[in-house]
Amino acid sequence: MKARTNLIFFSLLFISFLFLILSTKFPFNGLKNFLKIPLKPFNLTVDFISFSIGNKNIFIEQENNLLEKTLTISRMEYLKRENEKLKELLNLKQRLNEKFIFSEIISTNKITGEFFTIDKGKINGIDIGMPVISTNGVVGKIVEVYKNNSIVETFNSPNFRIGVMDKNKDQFMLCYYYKRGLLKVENVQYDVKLNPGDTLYTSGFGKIFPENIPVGTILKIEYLEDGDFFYLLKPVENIFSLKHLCILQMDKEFYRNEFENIRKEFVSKIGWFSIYQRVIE
Amino acid sequence: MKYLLLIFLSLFLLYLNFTVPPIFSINDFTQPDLFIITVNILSLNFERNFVYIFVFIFGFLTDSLSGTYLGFHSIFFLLISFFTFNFSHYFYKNKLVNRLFLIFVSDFIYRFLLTLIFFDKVGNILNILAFLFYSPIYTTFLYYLFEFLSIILKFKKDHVQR
Repeated sequence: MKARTNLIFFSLLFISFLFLILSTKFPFNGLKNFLKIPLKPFNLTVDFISFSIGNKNIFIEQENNLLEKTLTISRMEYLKRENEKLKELLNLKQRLNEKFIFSEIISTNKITGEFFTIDKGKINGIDIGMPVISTNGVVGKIVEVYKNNSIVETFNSPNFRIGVMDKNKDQFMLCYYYKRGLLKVENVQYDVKLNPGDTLYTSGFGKIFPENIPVGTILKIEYLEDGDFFYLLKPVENIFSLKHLCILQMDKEFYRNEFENIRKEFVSKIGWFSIYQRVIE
Repeated sequence: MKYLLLIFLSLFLLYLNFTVPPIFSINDFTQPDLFIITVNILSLNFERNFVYIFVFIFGFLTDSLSGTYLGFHSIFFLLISFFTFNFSHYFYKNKLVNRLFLIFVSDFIYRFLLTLIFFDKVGNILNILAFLFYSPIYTTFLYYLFEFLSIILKFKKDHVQR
């Protein structure tokens, strides 16, 4: 009796092993489908129950309709807001004298907000160094140009520098990147202090941006240990909510790189060491 | 009649185990293996030849449902039942702890083999830990719950008869 049981066990084990080895070469799809047949009644029962419950859910259908309508309304509101933004851009065009290229942001570095990719490139007349602004104010400048798209370096980049002034054109200062979403204004006059809430504008001295474009509002005055101070500036534009941008097509001479026409001029020689002077042509 | 009922129940368990796993699962991930419990209970309560043929066929059914190589589950279930039959004197009647241990080890080895086969799909170490340890513990706990329920029901039945 025991021998018979063992024989059954080992034959079944052998068959299983045989199938296992053959399964690596043949998928046995037909057999697998055939084996699933005993479970079909359960499947049908579950389907039937879910179908009968599903038919009774008229309320869910009504709720879906309501949700669809809400979605349409919110979509209309979004289009309305976008329309307003585009109108603001058009107003901006009338306000400034420079030529504009409108563009849309394709991608943003969502963590740092350092760079944007825009949908306009070399074929649209974009060039390196062109200033980029939005309806509210300064955004950055073009740093790389490809055939159909370009990269904008925003004020969240550590390389960002811009000449700024107050609204009365009394003080001309230099504005740097400080932290994400914050700028630092140095080179300030110590006798006349600006107040938190004052807006600073581009001075036009950096040879990148034209003057009188808002840069940011003073958030607070930071004092150092030696009594020195600087202004913390909150940019007027929130980088992360931007969708459309304007690229200013300025006179090429205006935003040209100062260092592209530099010439080295020999001054003197001390031993083997030569001294040169940089001369801008 | 007893065998027919058993086959129907096993099919139902198999369906629950593979088609509707979230019913018993914790957080959709730690899923108990109801069929290992079934195989162990069968091995302790039914005749050898019937159990061997039964687990062999149901192993193939499991393979067709779970997408493993045909024969994998059959071999495993056959080995579990063979082991349980040959060492059954350790697991009978009042030796509940041993039975729980048997369920845990069976499920652990089963999941270990599955992890080896599907190692490239595992994801990360936490998944492996949950799959190898939490699930067998959960399966063992469910078995304990069944045993506990059966004890209560038996006690009530005896009480009513008296």
